[in-house]
Amino acid sequence: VTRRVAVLGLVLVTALLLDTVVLVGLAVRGVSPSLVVLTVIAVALAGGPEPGVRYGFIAGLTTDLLAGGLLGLFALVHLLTGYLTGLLRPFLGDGGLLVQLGVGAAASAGNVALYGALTMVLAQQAVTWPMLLLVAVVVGLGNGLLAPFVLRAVTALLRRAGARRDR
Amino acid sequence: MITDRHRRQRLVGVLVLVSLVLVTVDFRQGEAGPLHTARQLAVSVFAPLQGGLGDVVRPIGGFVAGIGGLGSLRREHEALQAELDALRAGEPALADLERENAELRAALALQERLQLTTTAAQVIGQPPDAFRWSVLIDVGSDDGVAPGMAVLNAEGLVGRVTDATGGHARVQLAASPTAGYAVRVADTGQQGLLEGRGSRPMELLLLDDVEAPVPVGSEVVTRAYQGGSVPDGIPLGVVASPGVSGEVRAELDVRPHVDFSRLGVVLVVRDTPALPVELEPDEAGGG
Repeated sequence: VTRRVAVLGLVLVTALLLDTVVLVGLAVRGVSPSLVVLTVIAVALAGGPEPGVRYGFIAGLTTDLLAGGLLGLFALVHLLTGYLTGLLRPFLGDGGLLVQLGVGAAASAGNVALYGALTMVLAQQAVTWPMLLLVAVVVGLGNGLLAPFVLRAVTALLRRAGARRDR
Repeated sequence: MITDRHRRQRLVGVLVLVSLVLVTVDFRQGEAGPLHTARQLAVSVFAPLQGGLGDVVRPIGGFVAGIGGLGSLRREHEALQAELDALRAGEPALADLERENAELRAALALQERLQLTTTAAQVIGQPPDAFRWSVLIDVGSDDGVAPGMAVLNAEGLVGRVTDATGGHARVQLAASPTAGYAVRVADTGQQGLLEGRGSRPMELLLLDDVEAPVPVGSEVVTRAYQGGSVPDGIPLGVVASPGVSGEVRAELDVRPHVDFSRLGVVLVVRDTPALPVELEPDEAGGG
């Protein structure tokens, strides 16, 4: 279990670093893809709703601490993303390339749209509808393209960590 | 199976509740308290990592951007060249402004003389927020940086410091929808308020002489006011559209000089004591 936690922590820190330093350079109109969201989706797809919720909460809280927004908002949105994606898992079949693309894009777009909508409710003028749409589309497309890589990497890492623990 | 599902639902419920409590506490608490401390701690742990990785990937990022978009490297080169030219051209203008300002202040019998004392800083990675209209810089309260200070680069006003830890500070960009600045049109002297609108052009609200036409291409600069910490006459942008004029106020689009998505080296203005008169409260919504 501890090995799994360590692996997930490493995954989270790596994703946060890449998000804030590397992917920012690929921003389209100030919006760039989010690897952290993808790792939440990956963990939920690999382990189901419960790991998805736990990892989503921790990842969200860490993001909250580093971002300027309301503390707890990312935690809420990411844990719900992890939960719902985890619930979807049994219906996704073999998890082929197209499924990964689709789930990565849809869940990411839903994630940022929910975050944006909540921000709009809590701090009205910070977000406008066109901005929300732009962010959902850009993050959805970007994350969809990145999804197969991230999902495979996280799944492989988790499998290796789990296997060593058992035997 | 049933108990499994119950357990899972309870976990979701508890964590949702915790998140909502955190949001509520943070919403009420604002700028102080343990959550704020936790946040500063997290940033001070994470920022060196970001800085380190940034040093490693900056050249690689430039390379990727170069092959990603055709001619993008050349554009970057041109942008850098333009920045250099602007820096060179800006030197005498700045000196001129300083002198003019000193004269005006002397005329007003003000005791202090404005001298732009600045600290150079590197932008080290944006905070992980899709609606990011603030950036982190690698100087903080140890370098004399405090909330309310203005931040510039060679093109003009970048934003305002909202938060400072020992070695780092957060800058709210002027394009942030929660940012507002007192400005005037350089050509005509009309006063106004400039508000950010994210990735769209900024919005200028004229407060006097609203009937007087403002030509497209007019320069918009900051206007100092008592208690404010933004120096006078810092260029912000140019009027991009004639806009609509009403009875009491006119609204115009302003294209900012600064490219907020490509910030590198910035200067924090430390000369005026930080007495921020916030035009809009910040930090409430990820701005």
